[in-house]
Amino acid sequence: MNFVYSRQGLRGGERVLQRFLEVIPGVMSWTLVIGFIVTAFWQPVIASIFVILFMLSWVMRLFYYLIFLMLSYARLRYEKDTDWLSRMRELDRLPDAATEEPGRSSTAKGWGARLSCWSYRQDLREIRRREAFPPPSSDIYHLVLIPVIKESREVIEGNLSGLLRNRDLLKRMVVAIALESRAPAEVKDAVRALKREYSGRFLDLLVVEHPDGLPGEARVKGANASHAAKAAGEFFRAKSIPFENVIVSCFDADTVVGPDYFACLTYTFMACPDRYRASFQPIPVYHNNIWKVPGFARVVETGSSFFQLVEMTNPEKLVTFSSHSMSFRALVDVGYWPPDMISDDSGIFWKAYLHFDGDYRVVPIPVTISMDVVDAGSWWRTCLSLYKQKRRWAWGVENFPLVLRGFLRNKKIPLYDKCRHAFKLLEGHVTWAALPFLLTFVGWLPAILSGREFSNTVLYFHSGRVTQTIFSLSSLVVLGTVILSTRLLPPKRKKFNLFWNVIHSLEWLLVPVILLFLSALPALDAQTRLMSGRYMEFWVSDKRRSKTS
Amino acid sequence: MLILRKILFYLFLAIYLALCPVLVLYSLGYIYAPKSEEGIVKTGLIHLESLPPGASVHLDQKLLAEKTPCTLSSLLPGEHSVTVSLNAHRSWSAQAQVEAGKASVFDHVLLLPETIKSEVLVRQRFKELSRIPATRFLLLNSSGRLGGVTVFDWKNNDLKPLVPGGLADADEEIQRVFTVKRSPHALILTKGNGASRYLWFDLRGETPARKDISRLFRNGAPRDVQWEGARPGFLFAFYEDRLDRLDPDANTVNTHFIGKIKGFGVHRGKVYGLRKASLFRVNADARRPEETEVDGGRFLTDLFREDDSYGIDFLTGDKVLFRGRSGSLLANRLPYQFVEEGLAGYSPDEDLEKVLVWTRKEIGLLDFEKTVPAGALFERGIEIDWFYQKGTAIRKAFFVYGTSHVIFNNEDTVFLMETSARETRPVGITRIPAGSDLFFAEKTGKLYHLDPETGYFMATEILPAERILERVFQEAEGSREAPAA
Repeated sequence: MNFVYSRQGLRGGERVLQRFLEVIPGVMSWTLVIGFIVTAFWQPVIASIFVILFMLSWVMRLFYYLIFLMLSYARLRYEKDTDWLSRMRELDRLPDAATEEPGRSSTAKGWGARLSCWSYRQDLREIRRREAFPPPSSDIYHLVLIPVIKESREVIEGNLSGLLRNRDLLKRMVVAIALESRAPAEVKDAVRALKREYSGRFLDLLVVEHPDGLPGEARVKGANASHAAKAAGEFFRAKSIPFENVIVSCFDADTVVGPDYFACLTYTFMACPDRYRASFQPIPVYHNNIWKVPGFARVVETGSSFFQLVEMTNPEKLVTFSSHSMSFRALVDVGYWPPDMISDDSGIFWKAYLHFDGDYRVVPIPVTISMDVVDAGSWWRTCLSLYKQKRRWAWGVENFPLVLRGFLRNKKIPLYDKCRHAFKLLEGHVTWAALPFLLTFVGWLPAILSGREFSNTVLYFHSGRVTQTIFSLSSLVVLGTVILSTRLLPPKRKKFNLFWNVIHSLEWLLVPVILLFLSALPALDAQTRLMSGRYMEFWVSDKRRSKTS
Repeated sequence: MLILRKILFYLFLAIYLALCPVLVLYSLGYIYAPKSEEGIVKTGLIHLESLPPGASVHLDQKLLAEKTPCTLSSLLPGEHSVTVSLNAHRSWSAQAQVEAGKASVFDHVLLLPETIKSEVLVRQRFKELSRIPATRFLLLNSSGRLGGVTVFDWKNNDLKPLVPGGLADADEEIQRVFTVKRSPHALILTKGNGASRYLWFDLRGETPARKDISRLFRNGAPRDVQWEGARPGFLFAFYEDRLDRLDPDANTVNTHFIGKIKGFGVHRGKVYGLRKASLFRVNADARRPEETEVDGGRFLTDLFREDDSYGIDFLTGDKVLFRGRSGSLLANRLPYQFVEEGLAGYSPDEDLEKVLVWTRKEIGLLDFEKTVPAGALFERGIEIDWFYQKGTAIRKAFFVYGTSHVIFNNEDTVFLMETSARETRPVGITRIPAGSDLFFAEKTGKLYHLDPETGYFMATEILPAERILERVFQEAEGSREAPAA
């Protein structure tokens, strides 16, 4: 399909349609919020009934998410001991000789091992059934793109150190540091120094400088990454490495991968029958500096990880987020990342989805990648930085009008899939922006705004009691997330006494405030900007890493 | 995982769809009553809050497990008897009419102690007690002379003489005391050695500051004197039909500041004057007053009596009361005239939405927020609800516990009653000397009065101490109270 995944250069009806669709998410969010306030004032009975139905749906949703959060976390745990390298080698023996007893570490036992084996057997059967045999693992290469603009040497070096832990695959790994030409001189010097120091450890370490102001490009990470990817493509051509055998991973500069990341990625790529029609999404966690940041920042980012954990259990609706991997062949076919969008991570999925007429998916991979929590030095500046980061994430709503225009043009994607994706995209952003406002104010607003007539009804008294009971149930979910967070978070580097351990657990009581000010408000801000045509410029989050991190 | 997800999704959806109608119907008051014909019955509830809380509740003579504050829900429509009782307190009862889907709310149940506590604040015989409305000051007079006046600060529980002992003017006889609500000042007309003096007192400070401003009153005794605020720039003295403006600081007087008026009031730096067919205002500090008409017309002529004079009292910018010297009470809301004659006093509540009005024989409630019944053909405005009409010599009345109760004296007995339960007899609280004043402070929950036998200054606890803690964090200065009757 000949569809340009961009809002640039539109004319006539397309431009009008684009603007119309840009307005929809913001209008819906504001309508929900303001509409509820107006209803609470004008029709308190209807508003109170809405409160009850809404609160009930919210709590049930929380329990639903909690189940999948636990399942997802369980999968992370039971795959932790998986020997991905052995599995890769088993897959090399397909179609005949691969056994259905995959390698596991000698300490692995019990239900986790059984589940992991079962999962492996399912993969084997699917490959055999579809005869989608993978290339040999020895022929698979990795391209790691690291866009850099003002990150310090420590941050980038942390990234490289993570890569180096994947020892068995280093000689098939090409690292391309995508350096913006407008980066400060000290950053450029640091990158060049890193190249001298590390290039011998990989197949190669390229430094690709991205010129500023190329036509059709905005100052976004996607443009930088795409430029570097094109340069890497030349590298692979020169080495006669087919693009089908290359997996590209686009990492944020502060990303630190674990020692089994690339093995798991390679295995998943090989085991995926639709490997050239798939992106591979790990679980982002923010563990690099999590114990050095204020409590509210810790809660926010852990919540983000939890959300991704839940999303991982629904691959049919999963969209790429932050650092992710994909087939280089697919990347080239779709035309690389969008060069004029801030949300390049989700944008590339939709671009590919439309390009391949709906035959594109995200495959979750059960490993984590660690990034930095926003840390701007002081409490208040960190708060502001976090707000801006969340607003940038929420700017993913810019995909909505593009996706819908693409759906309207595309005649091959089934209508059901279009509706499903469009609904999830819209619903996700609207609830992100509006839900916390409703949650915060929904319980008491009808009682406050209503007149004497309503306060003399049974509904006035019962609705408060019902919503309070329902809300108390949600505290069970909070308790569950607190317990999970203590297991998911890395061990504390410094030994905290009982008091601080309790304080760290109690940080989760900040959730209502955090939801409102550091989740909903930035989302509403982003949607309002899109609605009013005030498109956002790229803003790089403040990240700091001490030399001893 | 996909199958599990779908199973769980539909399961949760089914649970949600099953729970929704149940919760909504419960919230609206529906219960399943198998004994009834319909099976599902719409119920009502009774909500109770008492002071003090923690009282036992009897419903239809059955003791319930709940203690106040509580909500008794799932009650079948009809009449139910409710009794709230607490140890060492007088119990409270009511017949609650429960309607389907409606709540009968009793959120101001005041449980009086069986023995009402009084304490002596000043062991000294006093003849009179007078208060300055909406301030923390009371004036206690033991002798009718200037030296016999003691200033009592009820908020800080502080006592000080108005005039230090030993001064010559301590023997001067008090003729009249002018006070203004919210102002910690008093203008006292005294007579001594055949001469009348006007003494201007500021009651704040360890010793009340005073100033002799008799020179400003060249034209005899005014009918009324008004000023505004804690630091009033000017005083306004009302004579037959004119207003003089007095400047105590500059010691000057502007006679005929406004002329030919039949009433006046001061509000937010403006002086309002009432003429035959107009209401106007001027800037209080204007050198030459320029009149700006606020309202006018023939209806004003019909409304205000020609032979009467009026004090104009702004409760808020849009709620104005006019008090006639003849004992009438009017307002700027329909039907304008509320009391034709015999008004003894009035007292607004803290929110300035309701006004307690009383004559010698009856006490009523004027509710500015009350709306006209739906479907009424005639636009009738607001009315005074005379909930007590058995008085003979009511002098003072105060709201107690919000506007749920009223404390008042009838002759020399002080009573407490609910404003909404007109069938209930008022409860006798204490006695006061004949003709004496009394004062109730919501902030302290105490009634301040003189003992009829000893003349001692007393405080009687009406609201329990727990209530007072709530008030600690409320605004600091001045309860809003009525002007002196």
